[in-house]
Amino acid sequence: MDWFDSVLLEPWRHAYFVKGAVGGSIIAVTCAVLGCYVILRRMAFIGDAMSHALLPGVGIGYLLMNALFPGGFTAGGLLVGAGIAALLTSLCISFLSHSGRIAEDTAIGIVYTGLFAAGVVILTRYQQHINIDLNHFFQGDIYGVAWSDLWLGAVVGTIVLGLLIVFYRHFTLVSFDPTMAASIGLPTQLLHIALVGMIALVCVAGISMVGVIMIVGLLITPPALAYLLTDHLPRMMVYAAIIAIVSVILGLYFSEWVNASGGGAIMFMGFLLFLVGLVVAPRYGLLPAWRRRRRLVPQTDLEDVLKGALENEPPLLAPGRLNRAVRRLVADGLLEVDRPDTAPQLTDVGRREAEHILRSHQLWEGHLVQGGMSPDEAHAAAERLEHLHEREILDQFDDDLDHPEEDIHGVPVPGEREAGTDEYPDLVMSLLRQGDSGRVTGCVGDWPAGIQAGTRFTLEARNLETGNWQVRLPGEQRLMQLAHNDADRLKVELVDEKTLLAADPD
Amino acid sequence: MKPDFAIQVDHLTVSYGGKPVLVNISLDVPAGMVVGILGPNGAGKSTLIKAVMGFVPRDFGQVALFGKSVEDARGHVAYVPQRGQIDWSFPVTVWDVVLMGRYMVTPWYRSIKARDRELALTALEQVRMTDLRHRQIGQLSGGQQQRVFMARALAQQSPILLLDEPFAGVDAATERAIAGLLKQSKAEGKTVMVVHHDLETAAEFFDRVVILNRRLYAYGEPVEVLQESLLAEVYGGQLRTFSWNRKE
Repeated sequence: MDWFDSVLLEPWRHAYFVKGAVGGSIIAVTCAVLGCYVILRRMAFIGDAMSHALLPGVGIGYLLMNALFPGGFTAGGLLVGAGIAALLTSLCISFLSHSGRIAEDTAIGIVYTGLFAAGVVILTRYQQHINIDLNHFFQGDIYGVAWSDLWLGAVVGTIVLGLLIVFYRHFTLVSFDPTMAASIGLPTQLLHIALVGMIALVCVAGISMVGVIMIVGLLITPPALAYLLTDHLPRMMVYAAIIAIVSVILGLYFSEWVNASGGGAIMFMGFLLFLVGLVVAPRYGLLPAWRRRRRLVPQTDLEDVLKGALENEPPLLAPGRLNRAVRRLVADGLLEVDRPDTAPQLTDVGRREAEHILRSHQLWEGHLVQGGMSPDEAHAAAERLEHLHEREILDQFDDDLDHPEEDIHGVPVPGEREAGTDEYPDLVMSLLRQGDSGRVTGCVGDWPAGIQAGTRFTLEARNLETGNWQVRLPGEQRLMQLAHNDADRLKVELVDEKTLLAADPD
Repeated sequence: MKPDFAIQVDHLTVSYGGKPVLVNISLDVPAGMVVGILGPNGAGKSTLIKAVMGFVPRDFGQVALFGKSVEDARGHVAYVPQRGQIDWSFPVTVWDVVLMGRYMVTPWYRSIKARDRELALTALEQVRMTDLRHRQIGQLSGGQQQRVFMARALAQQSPILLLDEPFAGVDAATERAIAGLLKQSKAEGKTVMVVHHDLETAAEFFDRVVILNRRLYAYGEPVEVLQESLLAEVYGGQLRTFSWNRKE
């Protein structure tokens, strides 16, 4: 508990720490919510430009106020000067980028470095009259937060958050679809200027606390992290605000412990949080994406494993990929494992799939050989091409090759078995094999003599001389001969032979 | 100008950076008409749509909607942008987008009324996307994305509907859905203008067709306008695709 007290509670007993935490949080939350639009509208560079370009405004404001009210209150002058500088910056950028050849990012680069340079010249020339040093401009002083800074922060925060809440729909629509926004009469230019103006306001309010670079960081980093965490704009704003507060508190603790600049520590914590989020964010993080990719099993692996199981040849896959493929196939019900130490077996569905891949391989081989490729080359090529196994392609090859019953190596080609499904309704007789029984359901064109819808049949071996299909019809001794053309035209459905006999006792 | 035309384009000339994009376009669209705008790439089809919305600076000429100049006729037009113009990773859901269709009638100091929510929901039902209304728009298929923007345009209940390439790269189901919505919009008396690229389907979808290539080459019923000789002149080198598509 001593540790808890001295490290976590002790800092809160000091006014400077509390003021820093409160002031920092006000600015950080305002920046975070506004920043959601900054990153969605891809205005990050404008934020950067705006914050730097404030320098001459601040300098001139100081000089003016000093000249008008010697030794008097100068915060007002600072604000007015900064406001003028912001206006000047956005006007110059918009003028330059619409002038023709100069692109907007180039214009931004020119304007802000130019104005910043002017600011450096003014500040260094009149150093003795302006009690703001460049170091302060860059780093801010979170532990030197004055009441006036807190008030300024609170007023700016109220204005900015108030505008963003009241005009939420307007800012969202103009950011998402400016064309539609304009078509329903929203003042798109004014809304853009309002956003730029608000960026200028938070810069003015925040620079004395966290410095010019850090204010840009607060504008961009927490919303960017929130964007990785959610797909919902209001939620993104809330997350960004929470991330901003966490960054401020963690940063303040951190700067206490290691005795470093507060503004730097805050932004550094924000950066670390972003890195953590970038890795672990559930949907858009790197780690989940990597794990999703790992879980993905290539379809070709699955098919190689199925074909391997059918042919009793282990596929050439690295053990990890093989295991993942087998696990997926078991989960999908294509393979089953009886005991852990035995090789997995094909289920009925798995066997059908595997035969389909094998058939694809054999028909591709046949097709390539028919086209003039050597059998060895064709085999190697078919190993890859077998994964292109759309029904239409395979049936075309099968037809071109005159429905071969054996492939080029003499291995039987499995018949088509998946017909009758929604995805592939039609089965024709030429795709069947010896021993298949079924019923004729239709015919494209004229019926061959002796066959009509409903005719039951059993297929015998193909006639080796003529290549004809030989069909046994129930109750007839003679085999019916069907030429290739007729067999292609007869639509059939497969029926188990026993069912066929049971249904028809004669 | 006569108010019985929904859209009147009168001697419109538009140029970007000194280059003419549209030259002397005159076009009257009666209310309740579904008009397709066809032409080769870079013909100024999208520019014509934008001119009807009053977004492009005109060098010369007028555009009027129901007899009022475009500037005075804000809100008469609902617009479905090209898919490529949308940032699909923007954190809005389907429902957020369709509600945008009711933003115009909602004053800034009010939240959206229950009646407007109902209208948005009806529009969502019309495109059959109610089930997906909590999805972020980037997590939809191309066809579904197109339908969300259709729903937003329907929710706007504007008398004029402008669509920029709604049929580009969508699946057959979405194509049917969009074609159905065009018919329905026409039945409700709306005037519809569609930038389209497929000459094949033009006759099926549209009552009138505009053939555009910077100049207005033809405007009339599809059968009159879609003549091979005219298209050859307008499309020049790009016509090959067309003849090939006709399978003749």
